[in-house]
Amino acid sequence: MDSTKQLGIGVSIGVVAVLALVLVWFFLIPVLNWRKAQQMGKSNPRLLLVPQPLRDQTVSRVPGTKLAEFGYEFEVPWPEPETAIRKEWLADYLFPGGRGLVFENPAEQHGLIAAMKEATAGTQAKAVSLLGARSEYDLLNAELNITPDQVSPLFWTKGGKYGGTLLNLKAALCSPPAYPWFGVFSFQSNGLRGFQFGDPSRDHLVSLDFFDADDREFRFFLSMRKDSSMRFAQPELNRIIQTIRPTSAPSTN
Amino acid sequence: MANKSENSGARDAIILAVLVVLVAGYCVAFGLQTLVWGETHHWTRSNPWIADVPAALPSGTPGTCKAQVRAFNYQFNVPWPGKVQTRGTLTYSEFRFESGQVAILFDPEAQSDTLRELKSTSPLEYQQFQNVFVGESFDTNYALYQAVYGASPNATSAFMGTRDAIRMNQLLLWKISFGLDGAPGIYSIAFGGNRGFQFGDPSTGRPVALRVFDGSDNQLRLIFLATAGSNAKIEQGDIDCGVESLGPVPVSER
Repeated sequence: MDSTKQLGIGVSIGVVAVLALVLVWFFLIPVLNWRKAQQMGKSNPRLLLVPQPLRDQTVSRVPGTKLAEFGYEFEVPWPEPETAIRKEWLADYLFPGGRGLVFENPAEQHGLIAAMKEATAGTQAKAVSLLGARSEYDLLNAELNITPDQVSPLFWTKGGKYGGTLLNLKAALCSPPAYPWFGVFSFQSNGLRGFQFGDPSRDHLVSLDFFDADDREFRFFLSMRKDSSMRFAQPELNRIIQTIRPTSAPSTN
Repeated sequence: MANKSENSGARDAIILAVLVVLVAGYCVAFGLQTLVWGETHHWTRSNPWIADVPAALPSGTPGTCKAQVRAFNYQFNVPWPGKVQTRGTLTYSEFRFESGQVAILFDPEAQSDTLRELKSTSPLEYQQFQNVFVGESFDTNYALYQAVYGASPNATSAFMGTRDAIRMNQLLLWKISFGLDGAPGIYSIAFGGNRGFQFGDPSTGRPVALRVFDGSDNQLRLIFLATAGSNAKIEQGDIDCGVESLGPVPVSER
């Protein structure tokens, strides 16, 4: 066999290998992801749940308590807490009536986008994006809004590029102990945007996860004792969202 | 010469067509399972612990229990005599023993009772939820945690059934979401009606966390650790003592 023929065979094998890779990466994996998404949707109906806009935006105006932690202050429409535990990463309050409130230290929230920004600091990367998201809010928003039918078998679509991974992230987020909620709600208010997990009129555990203009994450967990017949009211939760601000910032209300 | 070349070309075309058919057949039959197998092994890179499944603890007898502590209408025994400082909070009670050991009991009422909530709030969703676990008994919270922590990427295969692959994919995503309460190692623990999982090995000197499910499937969470800077040690027998005796305070004593 002469060297020209050997070279020809080598080139042919190379072309076939590159074509196979392109086929697998751009066509086969998206098609398999799409098929997997359909199966996941059948077995886990929670993946169909997407955030609904929060309708009740009224704020409770009853006399309450101002709390300040981690450089931020906010109000709750309840009397002074019976107990308060402060740690570096969270503050835990128990209010009369069995109402519990946990506020996590915003400085201790480290999201995936922040981790990627740290990893690329000092490089030529002009913008960091993960699964098409450039902020922690965008990423959480994309995770919560993906549904199995949005995962596309076509690579060049958003659902084809990111859909499979986003659905996996949502499936992890929908793990049973963490997701016994009657609904997920979205809101934009007071320069903040985020989500409320749970319907306060039905769930005994509700959480708020929202971001400010600098993509700083704020997380609150509100719990009512299981044996209590009381529930939180939406205007009570809105009071927290509407009043949180840096400790030194002037009030907007 | 031309005939030979044509024959060779036809043979190559046939080989290529057979290859395409074989690959397409494989993709249809095992493509989804191969994707799950690849993905779950990929997750292991950033979460190496998900390959761990509960291991049996070395058989031993619980240590001699010398004291009893109570919180949230539950009680358990410990082998550490002497004074104990109790600090109660909304979500947990912390018992600091004179000898340097610390035990923490989380409020059982605050622990999730996933199956009861699903059954009572959304029977239809509960039915669909069970579909994920077809072929597995899944009537208790303990069974849920056992299925989740028992899942491992090593149990996936490109040749497993489609439903099994989807189930394993879901279980492993939940395992990552549940997280690891302590390290190193996950162990099965069972004494009497109490059974559950131990995260961590007391011989390493690191805190050990437990998720215990009692005979009524209530979830009870405990942490055992030694005060920093003290010479206190936690032995496996000490933990066994706590788990074996963990139960509700008799109604007459509440």
